[in-house]
Amino acid sequence: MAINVEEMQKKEQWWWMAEQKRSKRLDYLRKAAWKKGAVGGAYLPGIKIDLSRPVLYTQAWEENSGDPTMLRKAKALAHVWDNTPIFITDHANLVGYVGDAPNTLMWHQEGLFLTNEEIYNDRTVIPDPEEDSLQVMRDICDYWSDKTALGKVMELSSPEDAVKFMSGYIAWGVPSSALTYSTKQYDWWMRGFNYIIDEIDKNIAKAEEEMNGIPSPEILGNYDKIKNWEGMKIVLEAGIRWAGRYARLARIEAENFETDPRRKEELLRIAETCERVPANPPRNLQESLQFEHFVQVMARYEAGEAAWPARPDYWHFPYYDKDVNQTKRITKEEATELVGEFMIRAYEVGIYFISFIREALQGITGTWVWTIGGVKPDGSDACNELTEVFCQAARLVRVANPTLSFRYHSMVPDSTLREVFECIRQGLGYPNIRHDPVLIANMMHWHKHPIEEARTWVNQACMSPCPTTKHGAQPFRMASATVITCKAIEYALHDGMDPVAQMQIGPQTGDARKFKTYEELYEAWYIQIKYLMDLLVRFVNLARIKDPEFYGRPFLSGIYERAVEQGTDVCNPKGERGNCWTTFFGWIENGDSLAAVKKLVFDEKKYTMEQLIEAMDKNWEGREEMRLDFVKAPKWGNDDDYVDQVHVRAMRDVAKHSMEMKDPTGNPWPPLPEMVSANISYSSKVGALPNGRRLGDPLYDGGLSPGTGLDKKGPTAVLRSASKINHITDGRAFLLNQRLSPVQLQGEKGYQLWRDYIKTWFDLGIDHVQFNMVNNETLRSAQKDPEKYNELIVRVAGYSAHFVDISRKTQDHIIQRTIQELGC
Amino acid sequence: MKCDKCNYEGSKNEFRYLYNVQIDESISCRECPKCHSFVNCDELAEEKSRKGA
Ligand SMILES: [Zn+2]
Repeated sequence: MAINVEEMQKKEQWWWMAEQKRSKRLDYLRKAAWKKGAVGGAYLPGIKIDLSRPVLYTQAWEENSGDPTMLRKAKALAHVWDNTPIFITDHANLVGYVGDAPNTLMWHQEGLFLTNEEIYNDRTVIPDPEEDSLQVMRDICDYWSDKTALGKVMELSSPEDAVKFMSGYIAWGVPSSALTYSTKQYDWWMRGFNYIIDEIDKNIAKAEEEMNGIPSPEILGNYDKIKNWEGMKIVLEAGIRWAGRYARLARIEAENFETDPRRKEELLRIAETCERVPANPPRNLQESLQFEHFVQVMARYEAGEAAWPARPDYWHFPYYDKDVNQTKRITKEEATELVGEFMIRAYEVGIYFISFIREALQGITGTWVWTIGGVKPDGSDACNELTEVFCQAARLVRVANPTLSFRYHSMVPDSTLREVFECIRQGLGYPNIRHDPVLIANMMHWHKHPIEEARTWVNQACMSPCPTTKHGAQPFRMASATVITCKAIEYALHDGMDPVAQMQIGPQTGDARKFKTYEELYEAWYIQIKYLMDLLVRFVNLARIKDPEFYGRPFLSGIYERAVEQGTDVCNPKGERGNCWTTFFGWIENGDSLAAVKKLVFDEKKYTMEQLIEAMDKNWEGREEMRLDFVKAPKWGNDDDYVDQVHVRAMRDVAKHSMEMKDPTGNPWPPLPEMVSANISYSSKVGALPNGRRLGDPLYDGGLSPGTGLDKKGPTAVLRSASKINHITDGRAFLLNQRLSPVQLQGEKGYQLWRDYIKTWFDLGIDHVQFNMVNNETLRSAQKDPEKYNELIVRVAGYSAHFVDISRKTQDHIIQRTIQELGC
Repeated sequence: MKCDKCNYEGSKNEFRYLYNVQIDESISCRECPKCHSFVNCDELAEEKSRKGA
C-alpha cells in the first residue's frame, strides 16, 4: 500500500506520519516501551513493581546498622547496583533502566509508610508468583513500618499540623526525598566520577591531617565529614561498577550470541561507552547522552525523583557539534535517532506513586520537563542545531513524557522558532513557551542569584526556574509545599471550618454572615491563605532539615560540588542560595470568588451573605438562577479591571507574605500558581465556591488561566489580564493554558499568526504560555473510539498526556476550554 | 427526571450530582441511581416550573 505522508499531514494524522518518517530502530524502541503512567488512577496490566531494589537495599541496610545514614545508604545502594538484574533492550544504543525488568516501577520502601501500606494491597502491580512476592513484601513492610522518612518527620512535627496536613484537603505531596525534585549541577558531574572521587580523596586526606594536628573546635566537624565523604565515594564507585556491568553484558552478547555484524558493532560501542562514562568525561554524543541518562537513573535508584530538570540541547551540544559537524563521525540523521532514543529511555522510567500523587499526574510517571533554548551565561543566544534536533526527534517519537520547555527571548532564530511551532502544531502540546528575560529577573529578585547563574536555568519541575550552578542548584524541593488555595475561600466563609472535610482546619476569622463590608471578607480570606501557606512551609522546612538524617542522599551529594567541598549531605542548606516555591493549586478561583461576592453582595446588594452561605452549604442545589448570577459576575481573563484588580491585590498580598516566609537557607518561598491534573482530583475535596462552582465540578485548569470557557473576549484580552500580574515580583511563575485552532494555524500564514501572538505575549512580560492545538471533533471522536486514538497527545497542565489515558472528566474539561482565534 | 438508558424515573435528588458540562450553563451531569450511566440534567428547569406554578 502506497503511503502518502503529505496526505497524512493534511489530515493531521501526526502519529501515523511519525511512524512513516522515523527509522526502523526508533519505531521498534517506541513501540517496545511500556506505558507506566497510571490511567484512571491504576497502573496498566503488566506493569509490576521491581522487588530487587527493596530486597537488596533492606539486606544491606540491616547489615550496616552501626553506620550514620549517609554511609549506610551508600552501602545499600552499592549492594543494589552490584546485584540487581540488568538487561539491554533489543536494538538499543543507550542503556540503564529504573528497575530490574522493562515493565517495572521503582518502589522506595524507605520513604513513605503510606506507600508501603498501599502497595501491598495494589494487587495489579505485584510480580508473579504472587504468593512469594507478597511474602517478600510483607517482610519489607514490617521491617520499615517504623523506619520510613515520612514517619519520622510526622513524629517530630506538631500533631495539629500533621493531622491537618495528612487530611488530604489542604496539601498535595509528601515531605520527604521519597518524592522530590533536584536540579543537577551538570558542569560538575560531567567531569566524570573519577575526577570527583579524586577530589573526595584529597578532602579526606586534608581533614585527617587536620585531625592529627593541634586540637581545636574547628576540626571536630571533620569526623562526620569523613563519614559523609566515604558514603559519596562508595556510591560513586558503585555507579561506575554498575555501568561496568552493562559494558560486560553488551560485550558478552556481542562476542557470544549476536550473529548480525552490525548489531555486534553496536553492542561493542555500548560496551565502550559504559566503560568510559560515568567514570570519565564524555568524548562524543553517545557517551554524553549515556552519561546524563546514567546520572538520572542512579538518582532515581536513590530517591523518588518525580521531576527531571535538564537542559539537554545546551549540555550535549559540544558533543553533537564535534560528531556531526567537525569529525563527521555520525550524520545528523543518526544523531536525531540517538536523541529520539534518549527521549524514549526517559519515557520508560517509572516510580510507584501513592494514589493521590498519581491521580494528580494522570497518564505520566513524573514531570520530565526538559528545558531548551535560552541564553548562555554571557547573555548571548544559546539556541543551536541540537535545539532543533530535539524538536524534530520529539515529533518522531511523540512521547507524552519527557516534554520540552522553550526559553524564548528576542534573539531566537526564526528556524528554531519554526521547529518549536511545528511540535505544537503537530498536536504535542509542547514545548511550552517561557519568557527568558522575565524569569532570569525573577530568580534575581527572589533568591538573589547573580545574573550569569540565573541564565543557566532549567525547570526544576513543571514550571519553576532554577540555576544549575554550585550555589544556585537546589537539591531538594518537595511537592508537599503545594497548597489547595481555594480552601481559603471556604474557610473565610465558614469561620475556618472545612465544610467538606468537616474539620476545623483554618483559624476562626468570624461568622461571615455578619460581614458588613467586602474588606472584612478580604481580611478573613487573607488570614486563611497565610495560615495555609505557613502550615505547609513549616512542615517542609522541618522535613528538609532532617532529610540527611531520615533519608540521606549520598549519590546526589557526590554530584554536587558544594556537598563534596563541604563534606555535607546535599540537603544540608549550607552554602545554598535556596530556590523554593509554594505551588498554588486552585488559585484563580480565589479572585473570581471574591470579585463575585464583592459585586453581588456588597456593591449591588442583590444577595446577602446569609443567602450566599446557605447556597454554599446546599452546593447551589435548587439555586441555579443565583448560581448563574455568580458565574456571570466579572471573571478573570476578559481584561475587566473590576475583577482583575481583585486578583492583582490578592496576588500581591500573598507575594508580600511569601517574602516573609523563609526556607532553611534563609530565603523566601514565592508562590507558583499551576494545576497539573489536580483540577480533577481535588474536585471532590473543594466545596461549592462563589465563582459558581459546585462540589464535584472541575477546578480551573491553570495557574493564571481563566476559568474554563469563561474567557469570552478573545486571546488578547486573556493576555492583557495575565499581564496585570507582575511576573517578576508577584510570584515564581504562572501557568497559562490556551487552546488554538488547528485549522486557523495551518501553513505559513498560521506560523506568522502564531509568531505575532508570541511577540505580543513577550512584550506583555508574561512568563509562561502553552497550547493545545487539537480540535473538538478529534477529541470527541477519541472519546467514542479510544482504540483509534491511542497516540493522541494533549496538554493537561504542567505536562502532556495521551488523551485516552486521562479520565473522562479531565477529557471533558479540556474540550470545554475556549478555542481562541488569533488576530481577532 | 428520567434516565434515557434504563428509563428509571425519580426526583432530581436521587440522581447524584457529578459535574457541570459547562460552568456558565445550567446543564449538569448526574448519575442514574439504577444503571449508573451519566444523565444530563437542566438544573434550571425545576426552578422555572416552581416559579411558573
Ligand atoms: Zn439508568
